[in-house]
Amino acid sequence: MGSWTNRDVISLRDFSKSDLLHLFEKTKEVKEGRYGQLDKTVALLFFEPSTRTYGSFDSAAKRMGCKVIGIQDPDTASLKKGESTYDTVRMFVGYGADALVIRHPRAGAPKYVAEAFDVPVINGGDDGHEHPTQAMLDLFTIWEKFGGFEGLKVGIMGDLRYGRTASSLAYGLAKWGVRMRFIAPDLLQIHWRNDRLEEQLREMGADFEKTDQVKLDDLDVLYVTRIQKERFVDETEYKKVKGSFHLGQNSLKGVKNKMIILHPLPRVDELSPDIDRMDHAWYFRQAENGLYVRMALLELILGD
Amino acid sequence: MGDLLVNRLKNGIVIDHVVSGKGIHIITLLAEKTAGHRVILLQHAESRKMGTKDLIKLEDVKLEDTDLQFISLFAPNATVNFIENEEVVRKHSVKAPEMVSGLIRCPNARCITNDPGEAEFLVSRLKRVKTGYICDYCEQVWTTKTYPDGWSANKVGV
Ligand SMILES: [Zn+2]
Repeated sequence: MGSWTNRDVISLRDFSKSDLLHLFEKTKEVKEGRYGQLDKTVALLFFEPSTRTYGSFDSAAKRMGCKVIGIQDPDTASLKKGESTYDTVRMFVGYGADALVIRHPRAGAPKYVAEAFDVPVINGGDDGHEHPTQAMLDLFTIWEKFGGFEGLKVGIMGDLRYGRTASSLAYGLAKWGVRMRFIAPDLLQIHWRNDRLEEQLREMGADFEKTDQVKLDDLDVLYVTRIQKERFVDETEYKKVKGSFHLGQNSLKGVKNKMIILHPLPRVDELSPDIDRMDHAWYFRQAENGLYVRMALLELILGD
Repeated sequence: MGDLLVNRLKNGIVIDHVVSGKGIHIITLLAEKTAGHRVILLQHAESRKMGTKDLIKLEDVKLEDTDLQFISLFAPNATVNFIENEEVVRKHSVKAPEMVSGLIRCPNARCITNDPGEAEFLVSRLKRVKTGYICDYCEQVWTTKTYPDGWSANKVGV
């Protein structure tokens, strides 16, 4: 296991199984109320606004007793027009930031900042590239429900071509040899991605299949992501896809009793609200877990 | 015709076995080096090995290692012949390097390496993978098939 102290969190792929298990144990402790207070300063630098991710990191840092500084929205922040990312970060490092959370519209920005500064960097999402804390909370939620990953079968459904959550999750699951089913219309399947996901999964020896059929009865976890209308040239094609990838109570007939549904939220209409009261619906719990995972991360990175 | 061009060169460089249609990129990349020199590009020449190929002749031009790296990006299997007094004095088989640093910007417009504000702090980096090159920052993959035509214009100073 690598040491967590002062570690950068740039990509989920940088973390071993034992690193992640350590994080999950720590998250469980935090969730049970067992955590100390850190006398540290965390800079949340959102070069692109994201209310949810900002809110989650902000409460996580404050609950851990950290002082929060930074930029919530680059348009309203008093950033000098055209100021470079480098200069902005340097300013907050100068203010005494002990850790940086970077959300950025340019892919690779968190890695660049981590290389340029000595302060640990947590990637809060860089364009369509990576969003490792999302993948960590997704994996934690599965671990919490099943106590591990052994023998699980996970369906990942929706926009698998452009979405980043699905790919980070797939890398994580592949580490444990979890069987995966990528459920999407061909237009949004993983073989169209420009980041080598499929190639790397094959190199890892991952056990996966691709299908455009919504077959759910043998799954333990169904991970649903949003399908965006903008991705389609043809409106009728979109409507067809939207129809078959919209889930309601009726679509869940015959699924395993213990099957859970996850979604990175916000949802549009891919999950009908009538699912919310079913035991399968774990997406609100998953979102709440984001807070605990981020608290645990700060404790592991900044704690003594 | 191709052979005549090669033979007639007194001093300079002949770049052979360039992927058909990609020679133009090399010429653009080497534009500073070749300014004021005679440059000949033969496109889609017949080749026993490759079907068709491009061939480039640069008169009185000297190439350095960084230039050979540029060439390797677009012509992974090219042969660079150094000509002196009409004789090939050295034959260099281009090998694609493991890492190309600072030579070329990533073609992905949404990549941090293309953020104009960062240019002075950030050195681009492409890493070799099985199918081509991958940007070390945004991790997009570029192969000889997917190099966008605009890429050569993104050359940065070293
Ligand atoms: Zn890039």
